[in-house]
Amino acid sequence: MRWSYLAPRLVLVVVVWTFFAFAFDPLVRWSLVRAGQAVARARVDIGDVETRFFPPSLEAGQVRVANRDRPGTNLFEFDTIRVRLAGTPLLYRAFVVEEGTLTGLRWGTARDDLGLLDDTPGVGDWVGRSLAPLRARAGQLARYWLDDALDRARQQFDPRQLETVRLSDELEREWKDRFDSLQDRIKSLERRADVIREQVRRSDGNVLERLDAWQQAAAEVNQLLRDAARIREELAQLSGTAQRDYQRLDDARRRDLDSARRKVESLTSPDGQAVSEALFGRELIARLEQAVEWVAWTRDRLAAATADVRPDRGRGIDVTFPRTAQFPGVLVRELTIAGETEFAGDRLSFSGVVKGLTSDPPLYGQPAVLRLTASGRTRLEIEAIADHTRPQPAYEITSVYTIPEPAELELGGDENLSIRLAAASTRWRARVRVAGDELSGTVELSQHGVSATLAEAGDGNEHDLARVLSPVLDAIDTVDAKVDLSGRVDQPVLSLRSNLGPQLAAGLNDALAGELNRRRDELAARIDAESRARLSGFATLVNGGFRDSSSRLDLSETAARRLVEQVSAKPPDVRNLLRRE
Amino acid sequence: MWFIFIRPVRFLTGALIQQDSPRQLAHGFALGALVGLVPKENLTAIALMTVLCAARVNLGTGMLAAFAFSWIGVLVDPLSHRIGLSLLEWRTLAPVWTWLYNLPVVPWTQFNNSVVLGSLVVGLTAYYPLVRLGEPLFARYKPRLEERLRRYRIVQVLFGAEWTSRLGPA
Repeated sequence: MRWSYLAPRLVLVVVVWTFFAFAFDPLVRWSLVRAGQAVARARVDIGDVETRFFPPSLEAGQVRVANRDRPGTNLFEFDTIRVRLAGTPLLYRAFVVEEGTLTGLRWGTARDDLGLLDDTPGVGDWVGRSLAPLRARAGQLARYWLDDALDRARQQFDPRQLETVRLSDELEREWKDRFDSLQDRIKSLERRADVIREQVRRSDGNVLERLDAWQQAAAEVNQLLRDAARIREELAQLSGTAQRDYQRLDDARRRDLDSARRKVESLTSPDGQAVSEALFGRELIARLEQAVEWVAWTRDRLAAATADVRPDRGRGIDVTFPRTAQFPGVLVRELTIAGETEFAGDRLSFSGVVKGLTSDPPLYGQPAVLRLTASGRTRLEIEAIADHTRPQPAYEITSVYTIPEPAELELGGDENLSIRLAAASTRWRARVRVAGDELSGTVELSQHGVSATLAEAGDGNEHDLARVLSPVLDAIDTVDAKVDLSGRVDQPVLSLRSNLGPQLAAGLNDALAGELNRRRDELAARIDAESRARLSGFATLVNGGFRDSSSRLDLSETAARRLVEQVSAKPPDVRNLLRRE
Repeated sequence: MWFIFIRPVRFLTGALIQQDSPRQLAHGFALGALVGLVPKENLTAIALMTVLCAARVNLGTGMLAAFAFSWIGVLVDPLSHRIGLSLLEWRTLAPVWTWLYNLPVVPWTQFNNSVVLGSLVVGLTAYYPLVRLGEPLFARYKPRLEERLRRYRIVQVLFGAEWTSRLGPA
């Protein structure tokens, strides 16, 4: 046999054997890394891969998938994955995992590098956009009632809010102006009288000239007296205005008292719904946000997983043809998973199963389902369903979080007032469904063996409210709250209800009845005292003004009359007048 | 141990200076070009490689051509893509493609990929011209090349190593 004939064939055998012995597994590993990176859009590391042909199976270890939204951390990593592939679909280049096991799964672990591949936008945008309306609504709910009530309570004692005070300030300014004007006019009279007096005293020249001067002085004095009489008339008229203004002030005082009573009474009828929203809004919507985030995460990852994965060099496109054998390109019928996770500060071991994960959901005809049960000090159950079988994909996540041991929860969370609940057992259940842009879902909180106390952080009037609420809170044993979600992602509609809200509202109404009577009387007394002080001040001002103006006017008139008498008592001597002529 | 590294180099040099005819060299080159053009992650490439190894053609020129045309293939991709896509979308051929697509193992050839099919067609089309062009060129230049290669000390060392390896076990 010739070497030239044998050698190439031997080479072929060696090449084929070498390929499967040494190159096939690395090639599969490389393909898996590439496909994984296309799905995760971040770096994927796979430690080692081992394949078997009879039966077709694959085992991979030390798999780490970077999180492109949090550089430097892994989206998840796991120790090993073992899958058994269906043989027939494999002949048609379809990867159908009949069953598999994934162990040592962990989320959010740190990695040495950033793990980024490119700068394409991540999922954070969608999540942020989706949750912004929910967060805004949560803020509104939490602030609605308590803040409003406390603001109104504070306003009761602010003197600047009283109409009496505002009106008395205004009248005081007006009356000061009036009296200043009168005083100026009276001073003017005094100055004119002084001038006349000086003219009379200094009068000289012949008799006729002095006679003219005196006659002129007499006329001016008469005019001065007439002006003084006019001022006195005006003063008399002003006393009527003063009485009317006093009456206006008194009316304002009454209105202030009525208004204060009404405002205080409005505090006695808080709406149970409003109280529920104020207390539970923030906490329940935080859970809702979490569920929506999970939905968004699932949606994005599945969208990436079902997208076409193109080769590195972008070498062409795959044209598909009708298949007689109906196999999706990739299908995981059942994969058992186990690992560890951290939730609400608790380290939990979990196990679960993934079913129906496929690259062609319409062909497979069933939704992908993930079921997880995690347990530690607390227990978490999650069921996630991603239905891509129809043109409008739908995602649904249900999570049940149970805390069997005593746990604390702070409601309200406001800087003004919040309620601390210590419960023997707590159970959260959240279900969120997103179909296109349509949202629906519920979040429920259930607590038993509850001990409720007020956690105060504010100042001033909250202490009174805390004193009122304490007996109500002492009577609370169970807490049930529920928020219903509907509407669209960009315009969510929330409806919140709880047993605690109406309980608190009813308790407030009962307990506040006596308290509010006391508060109302106290407030009325304070307003009355303030108003009366203002009235008294006004009366003092006006009376003082009248008194000063009248007495000064009297003095001016007296001076003018003396001047008249002076002029009348010293007529010029006519004989002297004739002698000179 | 060093023998492991020398052997492939010796194999390639030997392939060039062995007593293959210019026709075998030309066929090896054309077949290597075909292997080089086709993307490697499919059964088509493996099958072509197998043919290259199994056929009575010069393996050295085939390997060299495969290496060179792997890089040239990137430049030819746009043309291959257009040719492959037009063939895959040609209605007359649709039943053939569908039939092939539904055969076991055949989907692994990735014939339904536009570049794989296109580059295969380009390679097959270029096969005969490459052989026709290559044969006279190899006939003219192979003796000179062989003579020059034999002068290189490294080649002498390589073949000395070959003899030593033969004598060693004896």
